[in-house]
Amino acid sequence: MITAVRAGLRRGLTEFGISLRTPSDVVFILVGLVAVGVTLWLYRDVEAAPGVPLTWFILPSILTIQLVFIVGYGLGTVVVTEREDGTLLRARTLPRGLPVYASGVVTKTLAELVCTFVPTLVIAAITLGGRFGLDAGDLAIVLAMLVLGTLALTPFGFVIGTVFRNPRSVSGWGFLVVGLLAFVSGLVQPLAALPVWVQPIGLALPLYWIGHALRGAFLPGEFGAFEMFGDWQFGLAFLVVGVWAVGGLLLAPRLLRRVARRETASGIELRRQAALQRA
Amino acid sequence: MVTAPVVEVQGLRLRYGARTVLDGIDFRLDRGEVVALLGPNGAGKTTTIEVLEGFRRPDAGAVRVLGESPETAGDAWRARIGVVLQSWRDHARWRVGPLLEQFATLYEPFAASTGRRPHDVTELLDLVGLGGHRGALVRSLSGGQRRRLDVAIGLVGRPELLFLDEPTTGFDPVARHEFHELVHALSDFDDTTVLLTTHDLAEAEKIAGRILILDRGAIVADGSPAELARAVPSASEISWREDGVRQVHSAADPEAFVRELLARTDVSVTELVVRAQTLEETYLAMIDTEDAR
Repeated sequence: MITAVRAGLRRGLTEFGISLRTPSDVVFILVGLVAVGVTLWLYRDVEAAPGVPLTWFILPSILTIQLVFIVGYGLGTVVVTEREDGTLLRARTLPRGLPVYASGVVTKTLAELVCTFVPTLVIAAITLGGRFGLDAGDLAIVLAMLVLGTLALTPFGFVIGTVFRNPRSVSGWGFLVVGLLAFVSGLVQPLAALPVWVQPIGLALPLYWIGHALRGAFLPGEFGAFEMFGDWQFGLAFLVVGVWAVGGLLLAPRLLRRVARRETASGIELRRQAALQRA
Repeated sequence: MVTAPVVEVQGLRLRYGARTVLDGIDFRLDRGEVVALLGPNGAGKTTTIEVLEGFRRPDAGAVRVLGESPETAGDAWRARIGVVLQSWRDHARWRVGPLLEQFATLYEPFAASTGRRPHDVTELLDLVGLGGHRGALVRSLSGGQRRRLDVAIGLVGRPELLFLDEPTTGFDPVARHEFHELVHALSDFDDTTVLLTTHDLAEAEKIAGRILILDRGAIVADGSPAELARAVPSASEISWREDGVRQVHSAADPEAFVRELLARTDVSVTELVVRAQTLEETYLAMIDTEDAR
C-alpha cells in the first residue's frame, strides 16, 4: 500500500507538471485568482465594524468556495473525463492500478489547492497590510478546518466523478451546482439572512460549517451573533464536517471500485462513437 | 510431464440482457502457445478476452487463468498478465517515456514473487519500434505508433500471459512484420503465452500456432491452420505456363494432378506454382458452412 501511495504521489506530481504546461489549465487557475484579487482590492478599505476589515468576513467564504471548486468540482471533472477516455480502465489492467490512480488524482488536486490557497493568502496579506487578525489558536483552527474540509470534500469529488457519466454535463452543470451550494451554505450572504426553508439545507451541508469555523477564527468573538446559533460553534463545526469526511471516505472507494469494475473497452468504445456523433 | 494449463475455460456463457453473447465455450491454452481468436464482428471475441482479463463476470462456466478465477484474483495475479485492449485514448497529455516508467514501477513490488522484472523502458521502446519517440507526447503519435505504445504498456511487466485485442490495427507493413517477429520472440524466448484477436487472417496464419474460430458465441473450430484446412472440403490452386500460355486448375488432390502434368511429354511446363488453401479460404468456408445451417 505504501508503494502504491508513493507511486500515486509521483504520478500526481507528473500530472500537475503537465497541467502547469497546459495553457487552458493555467488560465483556469489564474482567472480565479484575478477574480479574488479584484474583489479583495475593491473591499480593501471597507470595514465590517471599526477595526474589523470586511476581508476577514469575505476571506473564509473565498477559501471555502475555492476548496469545493478544486477538490469537489475539479476532481470530479477529472475523474469523469478519465473514466470516459479509458484512464480508469487502464488503471484496472495494472497491478494496484486503482489505488495508484486515486492517490495520483488526489495528489494533483492537492497541488492545485496549494497553488490556489497560497497566492490567495498572499493577495489577502497585501490588501490587509499583513493584518490577518489570527492568534495561534485561530491559526490552528484555520489549518485544521482546511485539512478536515479537504478530507470531507475530496471523496465527494470522486462521488461526482463516478455518479455522472458525461464530462460535458459535469463541467457545465457543476458550475451552477457549486454556485448554488455556496449560496445555500451562507457563503455569499449570511445563512441567517436566507429564507427559513433554506437554512436547514445549509446547516446539513459541510460548506456552511467550514465557512463558519474559518469566520470564527478570523472575526472577533462578538461577530458570532450574526451566525445561525448566535455564537461560534467550533465543536459542532468540526463534528459535522468530520461526519461528512467519514461518510465520504467510506463511500468513495466503494463507488470508485464499483464503476471501475463496470468499465469495459467495448463500453468506452460505444461512448466514444456516441460522442463523435454528437460532435 | 503434464503442466497446468495457462487458461482453461469450460462451459463459458454470457448474455447481455436477452442476447446470448457466449454460448458454452470450452478451450485451453498451454504455456508458450500463440493462439489467434478469429470470428466475424459480434462473434464474442472481445467479450471472451474481457472475461479472461477479469473485466466481465460470466453467467455460467468455469474460467481459470494462471490457476485463478479472474473475477476474484488479486494484484499479484494482475502483475503476471499483460493487456492490450482495442482503441485506447488515455494519457494523451503524457510523454511516452515517463508514462512507461510510471507503469514499470507498478510491477516492481511483484518482481520477487513473479520472478519477472519489468522491462527497461529504453529497451522496451526499441523492441516495439518507438526508440525515437521517448520524449513525444502520446497525443502526437500516429495511429500505428499509439498502438505500438499500447503493446509496450501490455509488455512492460514482462507478462506470462498476454492478451492482444486487434493489436496491429493501423500498422504499416514494416511495423506489422516487426510485430510478428516480436510475438515470435516472446513465445520462443520468454515462454509467454499469447491470445490475440485479429481480422487479418494472413497475420493469424503467420504468428499463431493454433486458431480458434468463434461464431455466434460458440467455438466452431480449434486447431492449427493445416488442421483447419483439412476439416473443410478444400482445393489447392495449381498454376503453370504451358507453351507460353498461363493455365490455372483447382484440385482437391494436387500431388496426383502435378505428377500427371509433369509426366506429359507433349507440352513444356514452366512457372509451376502450387498454392495450398489459405486460412482465409478455410475461414470463409467455415463461416459459410455455419451460415448455411
